[in-house]
Amino acid sequence: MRMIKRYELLSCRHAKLMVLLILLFGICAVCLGQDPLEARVEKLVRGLGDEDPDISYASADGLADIGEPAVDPLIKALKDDDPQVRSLAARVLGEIKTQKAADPLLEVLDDPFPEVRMNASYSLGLIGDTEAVEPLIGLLEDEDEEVVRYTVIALGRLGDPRAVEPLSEVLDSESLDVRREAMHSLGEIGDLGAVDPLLDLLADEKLGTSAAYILSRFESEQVFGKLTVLLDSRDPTTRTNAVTALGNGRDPEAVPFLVEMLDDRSPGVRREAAYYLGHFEPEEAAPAEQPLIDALGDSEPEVREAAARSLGKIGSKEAVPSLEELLQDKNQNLHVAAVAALGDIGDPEAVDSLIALLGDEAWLVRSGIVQSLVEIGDPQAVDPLISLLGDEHYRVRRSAAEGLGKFGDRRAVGPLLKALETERERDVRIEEVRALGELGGPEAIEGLSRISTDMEEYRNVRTVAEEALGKLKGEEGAVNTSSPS
Amino acid sequence: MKKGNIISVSAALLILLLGVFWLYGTGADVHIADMSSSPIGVRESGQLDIVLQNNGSKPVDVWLEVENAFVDMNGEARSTSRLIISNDSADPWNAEFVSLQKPIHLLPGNNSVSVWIGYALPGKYPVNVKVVENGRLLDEGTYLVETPPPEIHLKLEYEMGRRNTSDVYRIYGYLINKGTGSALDVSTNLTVTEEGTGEPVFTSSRTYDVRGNDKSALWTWPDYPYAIVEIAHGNPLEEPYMPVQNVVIGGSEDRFRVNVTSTWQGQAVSAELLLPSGKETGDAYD
Repeated sequence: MRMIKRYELLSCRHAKLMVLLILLFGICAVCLGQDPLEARVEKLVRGLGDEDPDISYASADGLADIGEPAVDPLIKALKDDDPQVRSLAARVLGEIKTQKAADPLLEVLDDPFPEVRMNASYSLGLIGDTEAVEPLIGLLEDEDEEVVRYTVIALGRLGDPRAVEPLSEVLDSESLDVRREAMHSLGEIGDLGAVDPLLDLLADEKLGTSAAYILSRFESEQVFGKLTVLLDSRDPTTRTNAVTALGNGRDPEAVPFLVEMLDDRSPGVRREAAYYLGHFEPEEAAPAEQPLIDALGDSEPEVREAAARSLGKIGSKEAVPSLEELLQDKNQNLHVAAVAALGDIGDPEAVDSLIALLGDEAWLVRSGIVQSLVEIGDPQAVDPLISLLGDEHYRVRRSAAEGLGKFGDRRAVGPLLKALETERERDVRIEEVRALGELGGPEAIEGLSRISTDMEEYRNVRTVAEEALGKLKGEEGAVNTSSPS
Repeated sequence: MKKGNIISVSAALLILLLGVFWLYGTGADVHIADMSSSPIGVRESGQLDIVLQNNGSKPVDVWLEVENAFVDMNGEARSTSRLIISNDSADPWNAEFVSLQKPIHLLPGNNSVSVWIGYALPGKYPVNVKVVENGRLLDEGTYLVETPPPEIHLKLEYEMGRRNTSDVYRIYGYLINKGTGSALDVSTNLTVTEEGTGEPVFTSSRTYDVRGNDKSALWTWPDYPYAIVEIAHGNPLEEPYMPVQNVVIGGSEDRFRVNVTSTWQGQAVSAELLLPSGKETGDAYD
C-alpha cells in the first residue's frame, strides 16, 4: 500500500481537476445566486423580441408590472438590434413613467424604425418631461403619419405652450386623424394662442362640432367675444358651431345671443339655439321662456322638438298648454318630445291629456308617457300603468313595471304577480320582480321567494328576487328590532 | 482509477455537495399549508385560495409559479397573470392585486393569497403551485380543481290564436342549463314533420349560449315567437310573420310534429310538440 503524500494530493493533475470542479461550482453558485428579480427582468426583456405577439406583449406587461427595477435593462434594450425589442422597451418605459428614461428615449427619436419613434414620442408624453417639447416639435415633420399622430398626442399631454404654433400648423395636415388629434392637443394645452386656429375650424364640416366643444372650455371673455362675432358669419356651419360653443359654455351671458339665434334663417342654427337654451338653469333661461314657446310654432319640426325639450328642462309651466297642443301633432318625434317635456315640468294638470294618449300606436310614445306619468307622480296614473303590464310591446311593459315600483302603491302587487305568470321577456320580468321588491308586503314576499328558488327562471331574475327579498327581510328585521317589546 | 484520484474526486464532490447544500439547504421555512377552491363552471373565473405558512421569525419574499391556472378549448395551459393578496377582510375590494412577476412579501405565520383560475371545458385540472425563493424551491403542491359539465334541457310552449279562418300557433322555447358553467355554441335544430306522412316539411339550425343555472330564449326578437305554425281552415292569412323565420303553413287536414334538438359536447336533448293538439296552450319538456 502506498502512502499518499500531501504534495501528491495537490499535485498538478489533481489540482487542475479540483480547480475545474470549484470553478464549475462557482459558476453554478453565481447563476443560482443571481438576484431572482434581475433574472426575471432579463428573461422578460428577451421575451420582448419573441415572434409570438402573445409572448412579446405579455413580457412587456410583466416588465411594466415590475416597474422601477426593470428600468435600466429597458434603457439598455433601447439599443437592441431588434427593432421590436426597442419599440416595446420604449413603450414600457413610458408606462413605468420614469424620469430616468427621458434622455434615452430622446436619443431614439431618430430611430430608423417608425414604431420605435412612435412609442418613444408617446412615452415622452406620458413621462411628462418638458425637455422633450422641442425634440417632439421636430418630430412633427416625420414622414410617417402614425409617428406624427403619436407625437401630437404627446405634445398635448406635455401641455407646453411652445407647441401651440407647430400644432396649429398640423391642423392643415392631409390626414383627418392627425388633424383631430392636433385639435384635441391644442385643447389640452389650453393656451389662448390656440383660440384663433380653433375658431377657424368652426367652418369645418367634420371637425367643427368638436372644435366648438373644445372652445367652450376656454373661460375667457376674449373667446366669448370672438364667438359672438361669428354668430353673424355668412356660413351656417360656422354659426351653428358658434352656437354650440356658446351654449356648451353655459355662461348666462350667452342666453340673449342664443335667443336671437332662434330667428336665424338656417333651421340647423335655430335648432341648436333652441337645444342649448335648455342647458341653462331655469332662472338664467327665464328670458328665453317666451321665445322658446314661440319656437313651438316654428316651420321646422326639428326646431319645435328642440324647443319642446328645452321648455321641459327649464320647467316652464307657461308652456304646458302649448305642449299639450303639440300632443295632437302628427309627427311622432314631436309627440315624444312634448310627452317628455310635460313629465319634466311635472304639472299634474297634464296628467289627463297624457293618459288620453296611452292608446297611441307608437310604443315610443306610450313608453314616454309612462315615464312622464311617473315623473309627475300623480296617483291617478296607477291604474293605467297596471293596464300597460299587458301592452303588446315589451319596452312599454317594462316601463310600466318600473313605474309601478316607483309609485309604491301596493294595489299593483297582485297584477305584477299575475303578469309574471305569463311574461316571457327577461328584461320585463326583471323590472316586475324589482317592482315587487319596492312594493313589499306578504304577497310580494311570497312571490319573490317562489321566484328566487325557481331553477327554471332566468338567472338574472332570480338574483334580483333574492336581492329584493334580502332588502325586504332586512327592513322587516329593522322594524321588529325597533318595535317596543 | 488510482486511489489518489478517488480521494481527489471525493473531496471535490464533497465540496460541491456542501455548496449545493449551502445554496438549497438554507432556504426560508415556508410551506403551502392549505389549498382550496370551490368547483367552478366552464368558462367562469374562479379562485384557488392558497395559505402559505412562514415558519420563520422574519418576513420573507417568495415567488409563486402556477401551472394549469387557465386551460383553453384545445387543452393548452395558460398561466395566470395576477395574484390576489387577501387582507383578511370580508370586503372583496379590500384586496391587493399583484403581478406574478413580483415577489410576495410573507409575514411570519399564515398568509393568504389567491390565484385566478378558469377552464374552457369540463374536467378535473391539477393546478401545480411552486413556492420559490432565490431560485430555491421551498415547497410544491397540487390541487385538483373540478369543473363540472353544464346540464342542458329544452322546454317548448305555445299559444294559439284564431284569425279569420286560421289557427295560429306561436311557439316559444328555452334552452335551460341546470348545471354550473356556461355551454357555448349549443347546436340547436328545429324540425317540423308532417305527422301523417312522416315527411319533414321545415328545418332550421342555430347555435345558442347558455350560462350556468340560467336559461336562454330560443327566439331572437323580443315579443316574437321562435316559430309559427298556421293551420288554415280556409285561405291562408298570407302574413309574412317577419321577423320570425321559422314558419310552417298547413291546412285543416295537417298535423305537425315540432321537434327541437340541442347538442353540446356529447349531450343531446330534445323536446316535441304535436300541433294542433286540441288545446289552446301547452308545453313540452325534454
